Amino acid sequence: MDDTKDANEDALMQHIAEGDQPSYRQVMNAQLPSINRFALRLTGNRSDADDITQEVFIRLWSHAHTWRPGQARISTWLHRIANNLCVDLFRKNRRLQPLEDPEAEPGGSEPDYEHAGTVATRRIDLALASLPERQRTAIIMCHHQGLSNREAANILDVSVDALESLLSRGRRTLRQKLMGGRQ
Amino acid sequence: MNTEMNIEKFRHLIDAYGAEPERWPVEHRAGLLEFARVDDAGAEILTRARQLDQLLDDYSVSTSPDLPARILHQISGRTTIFDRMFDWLMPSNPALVWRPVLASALPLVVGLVFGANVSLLPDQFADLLDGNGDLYTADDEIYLIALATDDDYE
Repeated sequence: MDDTKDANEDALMQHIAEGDQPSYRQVMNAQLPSINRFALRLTGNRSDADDITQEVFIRLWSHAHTWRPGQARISTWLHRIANNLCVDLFRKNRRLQPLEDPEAEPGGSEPDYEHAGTVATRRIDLALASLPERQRTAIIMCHHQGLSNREAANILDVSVDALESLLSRGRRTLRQKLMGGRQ
Repeated sequence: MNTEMNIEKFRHLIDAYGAEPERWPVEHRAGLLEFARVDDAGAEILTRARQLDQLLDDYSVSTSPDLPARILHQISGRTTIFDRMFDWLMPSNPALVWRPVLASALPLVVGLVFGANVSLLPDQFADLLDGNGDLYTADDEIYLIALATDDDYE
């Protein structure tokens, strides 16, 4: 990431911390679609994804003063907040699940396929939902969200090697589920 | 940076990051490209990874169109004059802790200044003041009562 972009992002966050709504709108317009898709892919549920996205951007407004210049990109920061909120949701849903439900989805909530229009998309959605939470998050961050390996590792609080292990295992399982014998 | 590449390392990295060079770590990109070009097994691994990438690329989701308006409504709901006063007085930033301290100390300071400079005693009670303008104390009162005779009470 170049220094000019860093400085611009730092300045934007400084303005948001001072209550500047145009700066806030600028960041929201640029980042909201990506964060909303991230939450939707992680939760598989439109309502949960929208609630999480809303909370992420409310925190952007109310916690902008906690931004540490030069530490991360705004996108990475928002992805981290979204991921933490999704993890909280998964934990809450797991607590609410009956103990005798071993077939429950890893994410916990009922998948909502309204967003997944095509049959192919539904198959991939199901295959992703069957992965362990951290493998699924790693694949979505690196493949769909375009985060670098360091950014994704930072969000998951793991080393780059550990991230690569999560990605490899997740992709291997997906290949088996989606491509069957075509190894 | 072109790091040394072999089939195990190539397989490990492609298994993790897929077949698209822009998703590969920058420090391994040149080595992976070169290895895929010269090694048949490497090219085969890349082809399989590309098939999975294409399936994952098909997983597109849409965003909620009304979400920005909902969020802005929430944010502007937090910006009334009272919210701004509250936010100023009770900042979540620990470095601004002086604000609530200042706000709570202000009535004390105003009271001290006011009390030192303004007399609230009406004029008809002026005889209760001694020569220095201070109120007679309880000691003064007891002293005066002790000097009084029975005639003073009749």
